[in-house]
Amino acid sequence: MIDPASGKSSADSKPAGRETPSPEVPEVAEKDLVEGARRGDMASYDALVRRYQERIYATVYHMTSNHEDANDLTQESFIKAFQALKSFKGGSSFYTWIYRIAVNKTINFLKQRKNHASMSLNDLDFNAEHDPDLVALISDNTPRRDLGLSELAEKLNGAMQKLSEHHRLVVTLHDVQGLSHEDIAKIMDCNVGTVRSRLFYARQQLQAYLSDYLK
Amino acid sequence: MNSAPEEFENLRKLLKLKRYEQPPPGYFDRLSDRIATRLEQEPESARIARHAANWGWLDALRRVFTENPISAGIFAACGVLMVVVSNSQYLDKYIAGGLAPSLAAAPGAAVSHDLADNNMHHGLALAPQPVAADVMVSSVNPVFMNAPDSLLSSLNAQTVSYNH
Repeated sequence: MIDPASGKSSADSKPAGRETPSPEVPEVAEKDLVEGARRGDMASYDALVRRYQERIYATVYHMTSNHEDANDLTQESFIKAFQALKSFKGGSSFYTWIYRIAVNKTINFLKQRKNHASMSLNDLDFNAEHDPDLVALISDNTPRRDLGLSELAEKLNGAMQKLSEHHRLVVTLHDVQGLSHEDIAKIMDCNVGTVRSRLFYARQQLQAYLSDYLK
Repeated sequence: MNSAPEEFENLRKLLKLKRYEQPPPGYFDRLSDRIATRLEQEPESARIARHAANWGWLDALRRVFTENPISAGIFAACGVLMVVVSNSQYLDKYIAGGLAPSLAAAPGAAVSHDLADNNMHHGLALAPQPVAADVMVSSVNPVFMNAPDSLLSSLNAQTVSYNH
């Protein structure tokens, strides 16, 4: 499980408090698992699923703000990846490859459901109440003080859903999941400059949408 | 495009909230099982097609036979049946006595004449001998059996013994 406890000031390239486990996994082990899965060994593929399921689920969930949709899309992404293992040449890591599959599936899904989006948010972990950053946020003398953390999370998700899919994705991968610009560029198949500009624009947008709660 | 860290400091703090949104306890333990179950429930035809795409048809066939011995048995029985049926046609013709003349007049005979003509230009005499109607032709009694040494003699080839 991701431990979001710490978190210091954010440098732009790699956010401090990068709680997400590093995507760098022992290459040999991953290669072995991928090779085993390609031969039809379900145990190898199960190990790959267990290794990446939380990060894939989290990405899809933060993109959709809907647990049921995230559940379906995560399963479908792993199933599609298994069926398409032949096309995985090993040029990138399996991690990047499965991320791309999940991201493409999610963006296609979001485009289809554009007019009937609905949120189904997960509960907040009880540790949120002890996070110093969040405690500081709600203890300040601002309108957000009147809100509980759950309501604040709802406002935040609402604002995220107003962003375009690509801007939401950059914020999700960088500011929520803690991936580097370089990893995001690989996943989104674009250059690092594009990632940076999208991130800047998305933050500006979010800041505007949430201005009442960020003063 | 790089912003000062403090510009979005409060936003960054607020975004931390999203990391605490967690699915129900035990969800991830069940998720991988669900994925495995869905993969196992994949229709047989889709699984074969996927194996074929990943490993080629021969290996897909081997996998199908390994996983399902009954289909291997059926496939083998069909193969045996096809061999029996095709051989029974030859047997019928052979019994009727029409096999040898039909083979002598077959396109293969014309080809062997062409080959002989062609080889004549290179000084090779491969003169096919006419096949007598009463000579039985089979895989152990080929058509050119009556002209055994023509090629070797024209090349002045000698047999060499390795026994000292």
